[in-house]
Amino acid sequence: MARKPKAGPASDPEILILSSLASGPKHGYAIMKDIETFAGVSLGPGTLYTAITRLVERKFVAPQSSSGRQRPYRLTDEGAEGLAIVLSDMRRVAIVGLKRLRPA
Amino acid sequence: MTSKSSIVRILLRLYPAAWRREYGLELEDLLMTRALGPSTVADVAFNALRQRVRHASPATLYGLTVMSVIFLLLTWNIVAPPATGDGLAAVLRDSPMTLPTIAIAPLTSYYYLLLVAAVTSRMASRHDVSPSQSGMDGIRICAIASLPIVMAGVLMLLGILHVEVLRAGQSPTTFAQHGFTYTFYDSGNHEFSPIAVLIAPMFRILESWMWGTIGGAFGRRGRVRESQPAK
Repeated sequence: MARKPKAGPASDPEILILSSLASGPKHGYAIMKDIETFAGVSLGPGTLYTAITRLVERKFVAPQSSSGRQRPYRLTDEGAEGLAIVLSDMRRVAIVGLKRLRPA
Repeated sequence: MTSKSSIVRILLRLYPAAWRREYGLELEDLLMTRALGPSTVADVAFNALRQRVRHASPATLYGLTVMSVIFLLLTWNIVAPPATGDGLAAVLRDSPMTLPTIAIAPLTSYYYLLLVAAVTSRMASRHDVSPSQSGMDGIRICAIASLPIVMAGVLMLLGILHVEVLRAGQSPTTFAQHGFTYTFYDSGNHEFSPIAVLIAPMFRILESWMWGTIGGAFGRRGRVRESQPAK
């Protein structure tokens, strides 16, 4: 069984940002809008950039060069691997939890 | 400059300079595109504080910890004065020395000096820090930790924080009776003076520097030893 990386995404904003970037590079504003659309969660700008800072430090996302003030961020291979592991764990827990909630 | 851009600039100033250089323009752009409600302002300010803590050196964090302890003890003294002059809340004490005339109890304890040495030793064992830099870290811990004392001295000088000087055998009054008053126990060595409170932290600087330097040299020695190949 694959082991969860030590420095994996630990909190919801990080998982949401990684999930958003899984469909392609985006800048901060586009990430916020995308998360609002697919998760119904409105991340504050401070929370968003704190999470992006952590993800960049862990090399889970990387900034791309840009001529504008907003740099797009892309998911790295490590980020994709970490996200896949966390989402698989979440799916396994969700399946078990939903099964147990069903009336006998 | 509009009021919105002024608020955004102020909010960005709350972040550490290194962080601003990397992400400042992006965050500024993002904040300018949306309404600046109280929740957004609170979110940005709270996360700026988080970045400050993440970017702060261990010396700053430990200085802030000691500062919080001293602040709590001063508050404790004002709200519930200790029955005797050797209680924890008796932060300011009548010094038996000629100078300083006031001793700051937490900063004269061996625990504080050990903390300074341990913090600077740990920093030097992890990073390439010279002993003189470690000495400066010791001074930084002392300077930050002393802030409540300096603040109390200024308030005493301005007459905002009153002082009740108790001599042997006298009992302290309660908060309901004395209000915003610090209770000081006079041992008969010196007359109490707010100026003495204000300058008391200066007399801890040299010792903090010395223990910081010793701790740093000790940590650096361990680092050098670890980096040498095993024979």
